[in-house]
Amino acid sequence: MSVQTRTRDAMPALAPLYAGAAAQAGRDALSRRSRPAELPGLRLVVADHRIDEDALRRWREGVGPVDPDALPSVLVHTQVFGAAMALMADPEFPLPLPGMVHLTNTVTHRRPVAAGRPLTVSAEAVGLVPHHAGTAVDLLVQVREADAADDVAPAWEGVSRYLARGVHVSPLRPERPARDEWTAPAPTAQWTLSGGAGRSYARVSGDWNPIHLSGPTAKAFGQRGAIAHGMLLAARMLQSREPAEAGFRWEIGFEAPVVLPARVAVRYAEEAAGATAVTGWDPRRGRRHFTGSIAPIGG
Amino acid sequence: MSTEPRTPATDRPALAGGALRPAVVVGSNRIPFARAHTAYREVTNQEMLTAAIDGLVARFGLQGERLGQVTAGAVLKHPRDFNLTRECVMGSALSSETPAADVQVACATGMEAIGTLADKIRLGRIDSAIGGGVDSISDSPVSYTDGARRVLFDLNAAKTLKDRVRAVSRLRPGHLVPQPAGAGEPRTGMSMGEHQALTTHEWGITRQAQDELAAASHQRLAAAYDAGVMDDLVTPFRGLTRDNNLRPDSSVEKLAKLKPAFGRHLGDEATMTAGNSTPLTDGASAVLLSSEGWAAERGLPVLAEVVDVENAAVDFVDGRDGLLMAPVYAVPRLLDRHGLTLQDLDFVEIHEAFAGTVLATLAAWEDESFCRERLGLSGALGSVDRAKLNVHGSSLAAGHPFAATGGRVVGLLSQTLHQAGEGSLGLVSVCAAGGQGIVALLRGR
Repeated sequence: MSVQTRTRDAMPALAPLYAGAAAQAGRDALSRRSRPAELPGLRLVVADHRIDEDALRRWREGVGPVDPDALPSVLVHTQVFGAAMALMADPEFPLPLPGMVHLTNTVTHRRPVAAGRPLTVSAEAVGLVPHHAGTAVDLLVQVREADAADDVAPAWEGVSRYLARGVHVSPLRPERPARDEWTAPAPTAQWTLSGGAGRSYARVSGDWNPIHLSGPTAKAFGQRGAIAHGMLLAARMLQSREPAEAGFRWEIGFEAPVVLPARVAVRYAEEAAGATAVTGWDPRRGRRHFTGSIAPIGG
Repeated sequence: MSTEPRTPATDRPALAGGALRPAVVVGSNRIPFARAHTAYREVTNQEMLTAAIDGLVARFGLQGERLGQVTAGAVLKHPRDFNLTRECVMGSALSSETPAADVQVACATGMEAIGTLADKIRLGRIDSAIGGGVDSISDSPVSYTDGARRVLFDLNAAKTLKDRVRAVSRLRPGHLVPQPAGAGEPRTGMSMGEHQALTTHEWGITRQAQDELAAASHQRLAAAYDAGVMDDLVTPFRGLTRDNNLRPDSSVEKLAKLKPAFGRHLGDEATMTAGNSTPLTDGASAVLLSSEGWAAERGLPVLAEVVDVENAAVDFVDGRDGLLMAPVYAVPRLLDRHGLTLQDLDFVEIHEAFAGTVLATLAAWEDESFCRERLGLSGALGSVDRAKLNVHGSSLAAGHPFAATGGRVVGLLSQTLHQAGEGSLGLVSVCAAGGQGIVALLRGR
């Protein structure tokens, strides 16, 4: 499959992409249009992208401290993920954006990413993955310093996996994996997330998906109540644990959504030298919200 | 060349080449401790600490005296109290030329104050000092959110009406939600009780053992008041003559009826209740320290010598150690420095943050593999004879106004050692937030 490259002058904003995708979904329902079964083979490149002071200020207000010379990994994600969203919002994308569920995130953060410095961001959908509940797609986003050569490994590289429920583009339907027996371990931390945590993180990330904003808007989209952004949990997981010189890799896999307001019990456990396994769960119901890990690259 | 006779080397302070000299405890004073929002609900930190200092001044006739230094602190402190201890000194009967300093090491604040002052005396920098602390939950500060502060700062900086309107327009109702102080450990988001519940569970400390320790604490402190032990240690204040948390009729049966307050996620295995945990408390304490010469010149008693102090901290954030277990590490280091063992001690004071803290500490010292692997010892540190432990009760009965606890314990133990006689040995162990702890070795005079 040949990959075409399309260049954009500016990072696409998330809100209009959501709105456009919702409108497209409505038109598709009326016209019974079917989407292509394959990925578009398109790489979207945003050149000369800069993470500005405004993004830093919103992060400080909504999440925590920022070193402008070594931005938090999740802050980088929020400032570059528009490129991937633009791909997913395209009418020719095989999966519809509205209702997609975030499953996992894996990030390799090799070098510090600094605010105000020109970056080259590229985004590409790299694989459709059959899932027992539908079809998942992996979106690869790479961030390089603008003056870095193409063959230099990206400073920041993330793969986000999203699931479109009930959409099956391949006849392959994997079995639903058996639920592993899990009992809550002793927590080492507890996070308190307020009822407004979703609105607060929407201001930080620009992700105004209604499932995060309030009880009524979330219920309209089938949730029990406003649920925390997955990347807010990732940001909390990494808080004060990112090495300033970067050179680390982290991942997070989401399970039961965190309905706000919430107390999340968390356990950090060092598995190997420098490698930490993280688990978050609902201490009252004993249901797991996420599992994750933080480790040095190559460690 | 000077013809002035030089001070003989033996009389010089250690700082100037002489020998170290002992730092001794002359006496102490505290106000009765009160459960939060009760007897002292209208009283400030400054009033309480000043009362504790003035009681000490009155007891030893130090009116108008210039002391070497007064060091104290508070864990929960208003920003306006940035110079709390100096303000208390200026409001006290001491000479206004007495310098003061504020320190803060969470619940071990009083211990840090006393330890550093003792060192200054030993070195010869000062001859006399008061160390102590104060805390008030009833008078604790409440702050605005960061968002509200930013608006207020911008409003202050605004030069035109338009700028002011713009600043105020950014104010949101959520900005005005007050932010109470000290909700838990910043790095884990867990309260101290929740942390201790994990440690208590990990060490298999039973509900029965915790309730027994709590009941003994109340019974022993009540007996100490009845026997007059507290007469020279406590001065009545604002209508209180005894700590109002003290329940002389406390019993294991009564304590057994309480529901778990911490570690509820442990279900049936939750053991920590409001009865075997220290309540939030208001109060202040002060300890008078000096060189032997300074006390002798004034005809003042010498109760005990502050032999040594050891600080420790543990890596609690991901649960490698319990939050309140730093003294477990500090004590063997302190004892080793003096060639002593636990069995050499006549009295052991382990601050009862929670009954579980004391019992987990004792269990750790009795655990051979823990002592080998974590403390680097050749075997178990050993057992503490319960008859020597917290003989007049501790924080479960008296209460625990964070920074005031060090002064309470050092004052009480010094008197106990003095009564036991010259050369008797006592240990103080105080755990603190942030995975810290300070322990001290005292010798009776």
